[in-house]
Amino acid sequence: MVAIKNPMLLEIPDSFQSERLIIRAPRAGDGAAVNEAVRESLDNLRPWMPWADHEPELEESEESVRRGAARWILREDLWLLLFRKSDGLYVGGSGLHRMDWSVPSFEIGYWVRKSLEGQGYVTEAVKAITDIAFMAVSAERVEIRCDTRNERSAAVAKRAGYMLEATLHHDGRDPNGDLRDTYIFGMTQRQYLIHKGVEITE
Amino acid sequence: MVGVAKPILLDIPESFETERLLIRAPRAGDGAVMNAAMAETIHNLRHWLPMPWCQNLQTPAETEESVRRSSALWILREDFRFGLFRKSDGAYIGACGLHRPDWSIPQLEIGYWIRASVEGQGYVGEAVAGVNQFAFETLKAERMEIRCDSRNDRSAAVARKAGFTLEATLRHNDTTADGSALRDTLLFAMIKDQYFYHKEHGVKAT
Repeated sequence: MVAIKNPMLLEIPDSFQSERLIIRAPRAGDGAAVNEAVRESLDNLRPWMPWADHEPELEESEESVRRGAARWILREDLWLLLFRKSDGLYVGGSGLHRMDWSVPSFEIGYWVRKSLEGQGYVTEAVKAITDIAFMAVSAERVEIRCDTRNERSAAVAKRAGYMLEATLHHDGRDPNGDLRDTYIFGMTQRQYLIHKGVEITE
Repeated sequence: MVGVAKPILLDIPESFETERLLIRAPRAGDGAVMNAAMAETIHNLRHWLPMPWCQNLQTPAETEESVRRSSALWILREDFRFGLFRKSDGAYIGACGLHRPDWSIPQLEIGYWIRASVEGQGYVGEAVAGVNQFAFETLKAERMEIRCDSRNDRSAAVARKAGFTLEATLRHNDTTADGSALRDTLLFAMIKDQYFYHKEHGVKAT
């Protein structure tokens, strides 16, 4: 595989499914669902997510989904919203972020609303998004990063088959301003294909 | 408070119709038909419009990229390009856009071009009237502008016919599209009261 010269011309499915989830790009009108879930989950998000430092107004959430839709088209950030198939409930957020199209490589981020924790939705989403990254977007590498104290997040990366590559010491500050350590989990395309049982020819 | 503080939160329809035209925001996939229209028209565009895509014909892939970029700018409310599609057969016949928004007023500028094979049938006038209505009634514009090279008689005629007032001839304020000489620019404008007066009493060409 080679670097992607013009990611704007790359056809990327903006909606796909896993067993229990519809996973899709943000659209105008999604702000209300996102806002409700963020408000419900703020206590859980605050220690880990810099953007979760205040209760967002509805308009702020709507503005952010519209900006997200534009950044999707520009291929600057591929934010993905998770909806439960059975009832359409907004489950949480994920996406392919901080891309380097010259590799191509991506970082997957995720969070789940408080009332739906512990039901495996995040792992299910991460596996499906990993498939899209390697199969549809021809990623060479996908990364997951988290605070070393965020055990639940680290467990998702491991369950999805990512390998712990590094622990970065004092490489950032948490939302309280304290120094933190960061785990880097990685998966290469070769590793992904082996997991999937695809025969590799050199 | 006047003006629009958060234009990204405006709910704006992405398409509307006039008598003979479907006027709509660009979408992924429009590049091919647009590029064909540009290829046919580049000899006209080159005279009057300085943008790189009017000076040298793009490849279809470059046009497709620019269509996608403009659909993102639409969402961000930074620039509104519209494709003009003939209702009778769906043909792409040109573009009309709302550019350079100043949301503190709000004010926007109308731009337009028509493919060479359908010139002279009044499509541009029809599109400008539709886009101008969209600007005043949907975007709540207070003022609209049309600017053109002072030698571009056909473009100036469109502005006059649409009821815009010539406010100024800006002498030597720009270079010709090919950059070889200085040119004058005609600045036409319409304000909100004028628009609604025209609407009630019929457009008076200026």
